Amino acid sequence: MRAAMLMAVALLTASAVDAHVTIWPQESKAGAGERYTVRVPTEGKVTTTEVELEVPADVRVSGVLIGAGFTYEFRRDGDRIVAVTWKQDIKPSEYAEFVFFAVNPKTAGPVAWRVHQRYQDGTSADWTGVEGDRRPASVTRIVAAPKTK
Amino acid sequence: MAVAAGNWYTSFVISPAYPDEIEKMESLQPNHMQVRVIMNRRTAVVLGVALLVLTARAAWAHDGHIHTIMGTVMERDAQAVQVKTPGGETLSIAITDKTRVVRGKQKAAVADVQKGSRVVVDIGNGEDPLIANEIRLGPLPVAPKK
Repeated sequence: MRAAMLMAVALLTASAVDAHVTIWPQESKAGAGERYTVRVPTEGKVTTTEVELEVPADVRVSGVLIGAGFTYEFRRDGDRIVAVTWKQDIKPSEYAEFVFFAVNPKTAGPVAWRVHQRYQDGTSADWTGVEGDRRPASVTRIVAAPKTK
Repeated sequence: MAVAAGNWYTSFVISPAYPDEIEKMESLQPNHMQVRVIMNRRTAVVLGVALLVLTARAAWAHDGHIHTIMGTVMERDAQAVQVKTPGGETLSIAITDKTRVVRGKQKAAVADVQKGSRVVVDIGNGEDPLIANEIRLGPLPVAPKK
């Protein structure tokens, strides 16, 4: 029964966060290389055309996964990738997922992913808020890596 | 096949659609014609609860999406409530006759939503215009003991 309760809570949480632009996983290890997925829904009646991810200062993006149906571009500051933009038409009630690879910060703590979602009609939604805001930034909790002997 | 006590054991026979398929199936061993499903009772309970939760969630969410915001009530009249979120944004959220107001597990009234109240507001699919499906009020402040 306890398992049932845990699953119910997990489902409630999952269905709530599914409505936002989110980045997965939401927990990772300090200093680790990670495969991240940006999940983008179009919730309203206007098609999403592009999504821009601002790379947090202490995260190093090494690249993106290529795939059909979208294009991408990097914005760089010197050698460092500071933003990634994926362009794809995501119609209402559709979701898209974009994958990138990054090295986590060396210290534990939250990483907030600021994302800008742009629509066909020229409007945009900025997923840059904090928890409780209308459009919160997705957060990955960076935990200390286990010490090796 | 041994079946542990407390498990459910169900056997389904695949129905053939055409006579030639019947012949083909008759030539098979009985085990090939049956799909056996062993479902642990606990797994069934978990799946049942999950199904109920998903169904209920979809019913509440209208479009299948739930957005909630939280913050402090800045103003409230009969038509709308202004909520300042943790990020400093002030949102105007319409109140309708379908808006539910609760405090803990108790039903409350729109009149209980007062300036300064801490609230969590279910704004449905989060699209404009924002409409409050439910306003959850924080606990009443406890008066300091004298």
